[in-house]
Amino acid sequence: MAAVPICLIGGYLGAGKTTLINHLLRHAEGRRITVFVNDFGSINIDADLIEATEGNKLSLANGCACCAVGGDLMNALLALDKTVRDNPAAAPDHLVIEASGVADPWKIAQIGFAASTVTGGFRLDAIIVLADALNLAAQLADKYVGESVARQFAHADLVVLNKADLASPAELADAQSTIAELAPHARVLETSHGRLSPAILLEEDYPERVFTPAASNTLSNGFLQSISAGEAHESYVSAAWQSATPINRQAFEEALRALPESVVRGKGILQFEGEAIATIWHRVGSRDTFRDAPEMTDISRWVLIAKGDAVGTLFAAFRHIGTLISSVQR
Amino acid sequence: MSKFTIYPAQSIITMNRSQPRARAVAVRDGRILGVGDFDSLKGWGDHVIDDRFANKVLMPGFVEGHSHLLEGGVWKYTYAGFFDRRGPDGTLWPGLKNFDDVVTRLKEAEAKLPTPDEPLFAWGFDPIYFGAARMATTELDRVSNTRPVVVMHANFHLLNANSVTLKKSGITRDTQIEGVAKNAQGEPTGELQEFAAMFLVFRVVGNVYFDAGSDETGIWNMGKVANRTGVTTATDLVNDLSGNSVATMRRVTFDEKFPLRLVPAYRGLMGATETAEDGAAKIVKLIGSNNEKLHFGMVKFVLDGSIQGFTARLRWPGYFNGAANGIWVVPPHDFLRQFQVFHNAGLTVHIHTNGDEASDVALDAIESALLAFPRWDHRHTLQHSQMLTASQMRRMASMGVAANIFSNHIYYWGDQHYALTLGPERAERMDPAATALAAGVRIAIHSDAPVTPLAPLFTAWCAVNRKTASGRVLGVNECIKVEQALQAITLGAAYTLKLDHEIGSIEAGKRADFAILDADPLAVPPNELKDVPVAGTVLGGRVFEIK
Repeated sequence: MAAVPICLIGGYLGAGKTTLINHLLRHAEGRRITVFVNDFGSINIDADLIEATEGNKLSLANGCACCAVGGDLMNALLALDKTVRDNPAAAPDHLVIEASGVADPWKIAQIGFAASTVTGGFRLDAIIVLADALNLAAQLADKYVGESVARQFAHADLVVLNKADLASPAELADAQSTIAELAPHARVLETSHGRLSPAILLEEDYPERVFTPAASNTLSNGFLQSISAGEAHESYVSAAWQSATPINRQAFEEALRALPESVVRGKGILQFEGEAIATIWHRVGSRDTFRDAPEMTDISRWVLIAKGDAVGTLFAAFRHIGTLISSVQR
Repeated sequence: MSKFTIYPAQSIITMNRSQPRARAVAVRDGRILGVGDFDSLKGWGDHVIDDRFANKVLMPGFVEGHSHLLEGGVWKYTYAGFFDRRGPDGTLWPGLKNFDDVVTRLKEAEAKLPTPDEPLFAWGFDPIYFGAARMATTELDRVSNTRPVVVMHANFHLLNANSVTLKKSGITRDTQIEGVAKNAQGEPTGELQEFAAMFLVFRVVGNVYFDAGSDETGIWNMGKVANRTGVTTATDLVNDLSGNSVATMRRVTFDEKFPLRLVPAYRGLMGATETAEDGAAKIVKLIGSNNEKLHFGMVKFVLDGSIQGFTARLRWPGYFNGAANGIWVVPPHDFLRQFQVFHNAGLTVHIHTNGDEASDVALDAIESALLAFPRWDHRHTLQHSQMLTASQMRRMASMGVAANIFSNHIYYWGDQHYALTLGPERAERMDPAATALAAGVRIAIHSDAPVTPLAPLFTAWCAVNRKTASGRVLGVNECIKVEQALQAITLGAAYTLKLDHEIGSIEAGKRADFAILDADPLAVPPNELKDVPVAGTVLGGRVFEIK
């Protein structure tokens, strides 16, 4: 039984956690996302999207679900875990957990570190912490919550610098440098109203969504479209590679180290030289995880998502490893 | 008119200042008809004399202003604590002073389990009393190598498990969760700390401790413990007040054989499916259904963690051992907003604040709520109130905020507060009952059962003597008089529940709720207050003698 990937959404009050979650639920694009929120108070779901309401759970017509867990995350997780174990087909593709405004997402993320040794359960995908571009400095200086706000960033993979449209260039620059100190390993995504693609916030299942099976060497449009779906999301560039010959693990890891900071996500299924089964690789921010795929693969395929227009730099890292098969810039 | 009953007693401590002592009390229809002596009572007319209390001392039934129904629920499982504790059936479970004692106790319980794979659950263990030594699978594997053995710690934030449990839970040396304690060889010790590590165990054996107190057995057990300790009114100081919870409480309290008035407090800010406005409306509606044994109207918020867990929010200079400041359970700004809603609805809000910084946040919220929506006699209460400063207490007095002080902490964790968490000066002024009274703050004192045992005379003993487990007197200047402590466990607690017009003293018109004692708490040496035997209770005129 596969573990459910979990994505933590942290950040202090007003940073835009629920706005981002609302955006995610509206643009799930076929992903079955279950969201745990603290309360329904600020979740704003169109009534015609709601298929059923049962206790503290809203089921949406697009296959997503939204559960209000209040202070009782333990029992919410136990209930979901039981549902999935009883019926693996009921497993969501992603579990997104909204941490409370003063919770340390790292503590909750621990739940995602057991999957290697237990059946099913949860597997950490990403820790995403939102920062309020206008009020971050004031929040950090608050005598009551300053330390709690600072602590939230320490293990962030991605920091969403939200309300960027309302901040002056100087305010944005200040926030950027503060975040660089608080979240040294994170990649920073500027946006407003949480307009980020699910392809950036969530890891993808492999390889179905990223690539069409055996469609010569062209990349499925579905995935790339989803990261630049019209006006809905911030623009990002992506590039996909493949290799029909097994890859040297060391060379691949070196290429990863050489990636520019503009890269925010990476994902792939890789056949390393001399290994009996393929490896699923996943990068969020600057953190790479590798885990065993179910079997060997003939063709290694991977994709990177980056901000800005650094396509040239993106190409450079993997030039000697695979063949660039597609790139998209919007 | 029906006949009423006159109970002569060896002595009656009324807690009513206009008649502090009496020799007889008359009861009609569950209420006190009069208090005095036989001659002053017989004028009410036809009566019978019941002299079963002729050699007893009567006090107002004790009021526990901060307890949880879980106190009843945990007794479904084996007690593994360091201190002696008496169960609902009266069995005295001696405290376990070393790991071998724990193993022996658990083996006895294990032998009684009906099936070979049923998990063994225990509770109340606290490693803080064993110095650097930590219990491990080495010990719990001696209890069983075939069934899961799970020992919940006293704070409910940690547990110990045996190897069978670890195996079933998939916990190995490779498990990367921070809360999985490992030994020098990198193997898990079986101690699992906090949420994520405990999750792995609960997904295999179930989260049995969570709602152990909310079913009928748990509530009945709570009633039995109360009866043995002289308690006639107790809080469940955080309850979801769901339809199911309310129905169960109604069913149990409706039974005339249930010996306790129950005051459940609504879980503010934690309600997942309700806004504060909905929650407040629900309580207001429930108040309409209040009856003599089930009383709604209280709200509970939790602001910070615990001092001994280093999760309480402290003002400068922080923890004595240099630990980082604690955590907010809810964002102070959220609290401010939601508190206002419950305040405006006319409800009484009980706010868990262990650290002095958390108390600041609570007092700021109360002050701003009062400015926006002035209210008299709100009786908002700071719960635990362990680090209140003199200036905070002056502020509380001005705003009419009460303190329910966690006096039991002095005995159970006072030594740790002195040496580790707060250091000598602040440890000696913690749980400051004397300063609170001097500042004009109304006080109650409490057990937070099941965190410490439900036993108000013990709690009073703590507030009077301030002795730690090692025998240190922790801050002699905060000791209060026996009379003051007895007030705190009766009228004082009743005041914080807005029930002081009904209970808390023995005077005409009030409910006939008594604690039946075998000795006079005002006559015994103050150091023996905790040893005054309780013979039972009277609730609404119905006698519940301990069998």
